[in-house]
Amino acid sequence: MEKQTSERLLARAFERAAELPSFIAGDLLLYASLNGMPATGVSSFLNCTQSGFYRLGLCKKPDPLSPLFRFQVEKIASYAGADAQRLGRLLRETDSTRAMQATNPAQLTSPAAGFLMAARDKETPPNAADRPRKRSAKTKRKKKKQ
Amino acid sequence: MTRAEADQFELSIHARLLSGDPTASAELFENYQAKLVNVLTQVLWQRDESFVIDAATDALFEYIQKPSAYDPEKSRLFNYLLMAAKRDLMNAVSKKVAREKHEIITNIVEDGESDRNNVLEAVDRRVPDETRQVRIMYGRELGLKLMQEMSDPADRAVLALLIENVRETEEYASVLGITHLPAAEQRKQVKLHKDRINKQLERFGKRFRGKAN
Repeated sequence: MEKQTSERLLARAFERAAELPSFIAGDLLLYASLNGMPATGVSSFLNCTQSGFYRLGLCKKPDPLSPLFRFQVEKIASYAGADAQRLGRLLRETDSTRAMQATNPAQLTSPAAGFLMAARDKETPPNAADRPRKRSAKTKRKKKKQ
Repeated sequence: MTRAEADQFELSIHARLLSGDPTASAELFENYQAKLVNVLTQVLWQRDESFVIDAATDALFEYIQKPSAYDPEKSRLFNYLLMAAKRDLMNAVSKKVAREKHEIITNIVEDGESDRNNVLEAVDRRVPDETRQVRIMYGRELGLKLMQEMSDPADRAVLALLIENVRETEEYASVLGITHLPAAEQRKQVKLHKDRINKQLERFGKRFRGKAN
């Protein structure tokens, strides 16, 4: 009974946390929506209990660009009883989705597209041919004359 | 959790929040959310549980987002959170009561004078009874505090009846010593007395909220 009450309270806090960008709760819900699954689907994906899922959502979100990211993800996963590798993947995916939404919302046609674009950014080494070429001094002078 | 363990937990969780430990916030919720809800429910006699849960939850988030605002030298963390939650609860309840009053006034204006009986019925259904208002707005804690400040025993007795959800005029007439008066006069006197005490509660509540802020 006490466990139920405490879980209900944590669920309420999880809802609030989902509105605050510094908590993981929002990322868990975003991941569920990107993959068209209910929140319970995310807890199954992360191999954690319902209570663990709520506690996970109440943890502060580690920065994927920080050198401590992996260490912090492992710490969070161990605390909430979740799969650390999957949690890390989930957080990287939601982070890049958010970044893309912020730069160009129209680019994001589907959750899958978001994931693929994030993966491509990560895996493909920057190709010189894809980089915008620097204008030579000659071209610049030519352009000025026109 | 013993007192010493609680002190240790508070110092450690505070330091971890300041240093950006990612699990500290969840651990704080796990240990203190239910405890805050329990204490608030006991001391403030708040029947609307969602208000209490939200107040406790908001106080925790407020602290987690700005842990540097808390000074461990000044008070225990739990007391600090409890004060913040009480303040949030009082604000939320005041807003709710004000909103309900506004809705009732709007209804009266919209329904018009010709439909007066129906309007009164509608009002009766929607307005929380006096005791509920006392409980919602001021709670057991405030009621009891005010009672200690009252010098007139009749006032104290009326306030006790209000808090105890007594509605019968005869009960109030009895503590006021006016049972010998005609029924209509009793009702009038009881109403005057209740109104006066409600005013005192209102002033006292404002003073209390001022202190809490």
